[in-house]
Amino acid sequence: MSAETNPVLLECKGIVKQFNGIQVLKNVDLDVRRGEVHALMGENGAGKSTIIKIITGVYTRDAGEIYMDGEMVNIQTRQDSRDAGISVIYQELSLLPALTVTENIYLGQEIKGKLGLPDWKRMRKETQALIEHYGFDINPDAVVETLGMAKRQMVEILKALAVKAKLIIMDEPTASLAASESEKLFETINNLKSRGAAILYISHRLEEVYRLADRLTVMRDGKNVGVLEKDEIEARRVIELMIGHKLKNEDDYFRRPIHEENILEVKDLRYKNMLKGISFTARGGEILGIGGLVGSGRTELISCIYGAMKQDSGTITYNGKPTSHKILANMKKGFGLVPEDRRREGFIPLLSIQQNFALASYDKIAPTGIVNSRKEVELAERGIKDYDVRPPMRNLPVGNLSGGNQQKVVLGRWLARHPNVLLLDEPTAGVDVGVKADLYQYMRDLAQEGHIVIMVSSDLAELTYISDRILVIHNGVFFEEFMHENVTQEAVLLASSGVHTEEGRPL
Amino acid sequence: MNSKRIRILISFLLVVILALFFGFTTESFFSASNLSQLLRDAAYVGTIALGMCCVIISGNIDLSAGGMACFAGCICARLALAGMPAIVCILGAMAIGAIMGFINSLLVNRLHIAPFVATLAAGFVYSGLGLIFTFRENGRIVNKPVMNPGFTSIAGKVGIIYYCVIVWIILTLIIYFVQLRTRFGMHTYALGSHETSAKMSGVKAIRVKTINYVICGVMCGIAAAFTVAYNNTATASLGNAMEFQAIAACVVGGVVMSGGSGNAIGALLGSLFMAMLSNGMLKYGINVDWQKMFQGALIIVATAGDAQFARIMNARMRARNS
Repeated sequence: MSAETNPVLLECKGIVKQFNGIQVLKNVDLDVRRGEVHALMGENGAGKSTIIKIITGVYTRDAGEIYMDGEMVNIQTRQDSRDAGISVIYQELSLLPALTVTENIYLGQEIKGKLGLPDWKRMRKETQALIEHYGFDINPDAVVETLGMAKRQMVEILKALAVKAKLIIMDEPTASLAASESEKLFETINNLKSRGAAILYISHRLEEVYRLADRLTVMRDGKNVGVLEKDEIEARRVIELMIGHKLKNEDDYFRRPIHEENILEVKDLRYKNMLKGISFTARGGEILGIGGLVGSGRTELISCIYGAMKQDSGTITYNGKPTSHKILANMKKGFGLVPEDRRREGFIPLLSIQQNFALASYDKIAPTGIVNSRKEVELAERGIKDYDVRPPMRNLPVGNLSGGNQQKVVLGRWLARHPNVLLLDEPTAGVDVGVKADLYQYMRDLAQEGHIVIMVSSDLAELTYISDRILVIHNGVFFEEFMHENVTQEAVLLASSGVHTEEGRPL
Repeated sequence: MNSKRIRILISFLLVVILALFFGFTTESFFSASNLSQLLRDAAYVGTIALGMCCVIISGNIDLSAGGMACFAGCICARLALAGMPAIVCILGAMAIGAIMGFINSLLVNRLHIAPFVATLAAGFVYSGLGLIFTFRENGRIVNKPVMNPGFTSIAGKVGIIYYCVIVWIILTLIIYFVQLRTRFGMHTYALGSHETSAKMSGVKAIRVKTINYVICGVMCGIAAAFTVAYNNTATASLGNAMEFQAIAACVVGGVVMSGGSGNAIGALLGSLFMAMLSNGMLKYGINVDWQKMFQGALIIVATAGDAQFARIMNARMRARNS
């Protein structure tokens, strides 16, 4: 069956979406045919998630039309989308761990038997039939929490199939899977395709897209910038489309002096199957960027350095001495971490700006255990002023600030300590452009003082703009090293996908 | 004025309003002997509520408080009966309380039992142990007087104020200082409001939880010692259901059950409120069964009011920011 001749299943025409006056989708067209795997690619912020959320009824579109099988559908809610035959499988699975496979599949759409009570016997039978039809290897009575991630995903897919979904949207389905589990998923996807299902597949991983996709749509800055047929899908071409012709901002770059007396050394670090022997040296005065795909082990790497996770083997030494596995001990040595998910790990929403600043610096403002109020207030007021936190009210709970200002507090409370080693994980995620520029300046100032700055980022523009040196992780090891002078976003992305480049130095 | 101060002010106004209400509508409410008694009752609940508020702020709960008071009280009575000086009896009760608090923290931290379940079960064990140590004659529990003038003298008073009230207020001020002005106190708030972030900021979660449980145990021990001295005996009903009185006092005083907010002054005001309510209702001739119902209804009103208060404060904050 050739995908090109298949009838179009989903067609989006001229979709427009604004948030707070900013157009995030500008007239997007997208079509998916029956029996094809259609990949959707684009950098973070290109508008992939937004279009998916419009198709699935999470957001409502401001303009544009959506057709299923040639008929216009008016999708306003999730239920509208489900009724139109669209199912979505999110990165974080939505299954209930304590229930069985059958119970999960039919939850909220129970088949009713006599007296209107759920007929579990029949639902189990239907599940069994579905499993056999698609040749899945799964037990309908298994409790979901006993299943591996790949099987859980199968359950999600079964859930979609049970409501006879015509289009299944998969958002980064392999993000939490091991390689062998991904293989199983690919088999399942091919199986679904051969039975006429259409799959819209969102992924950062080029290798997967080559293998699976029949067609590929690339988005950039809220626009559809190109649709490639299977034989046109090629790494350089895809990446050029994704990145466009953004110019590198060279105006204000200069290399800071290196402080050899401030050295962090990581040797042969291993963690589960994420990190398979990572070694590098970071020096004072340097902003070291760490690139790689989401889920490639970048977060685990800096968590191990900080002491929030414990590596399986390998050593981390700071100025010749091994670091601790305890956060507090490392903090005292001058380590700081701005975590990826600030809401979950970065700050304490109920506590005030002042208390959040204090929390990272109690060794300074309360050396005896009793807080020096004057110092505490000073610390907060200086932090608010230095890092331009708005509104400048030190007693305001941080949970009430805007995302950008929360991030200023999260970063500022570490910067206020002038940490010897500052680790940043996606420091500007969800932060607007003006605040970003401020955050970059703070990072540079810190490096200028001779401290070590290590930043993980998925934002290629940011990574190539601010880093003096970039190390790219692929398959659990550092794959290539780039220097600021000759790095390009294309090269970093290629290296992230395991393609060597001229610009980089293979490791 | 921030929302925390407003919340404390509300508790304070509630206490004042209730006092004025009972004061004007009953005859003897403001009499010296009634106030003296009222404060003594408040100190009993209040000392336990003080420990309870520490545990709640850290994001946990201690349902064994009554059981701890019972066991610590019985041990204290035994020590008194053995002719020990008052200080030894009190320290003994505190030590037993500390040990029980520590055991609670082990159940929660090391065995990973949910705090609600761990302390509920532990509470049964402690009150069971207390029963074993009560005074018996021919197998029957008797209220045997401890006959230790040194020890029972701690049940005395200065003017109309019982010693236990003074101790309660001093302890409240100490805990309040610890909560607001020490690293440990701030770590407790951080942990109670957001455990993951707190850990990432270097808070030693297990240590902080443990200390708060131990504080709660010690407070129960102190409350029990004074009660034994006042009653001149330890009975099996000592500490009975005190954990719920204490939790109720905390809630009325603005200590949020999900952790991370509230403070010792709030717990003090809440305890005062609860004690006044029982006292005033007695003056109205409302019997104990009805009192329970009123107390329950009031807790519902207090928590509902708190939820509304939080919503209004949030809305105001948002309006200000946008």
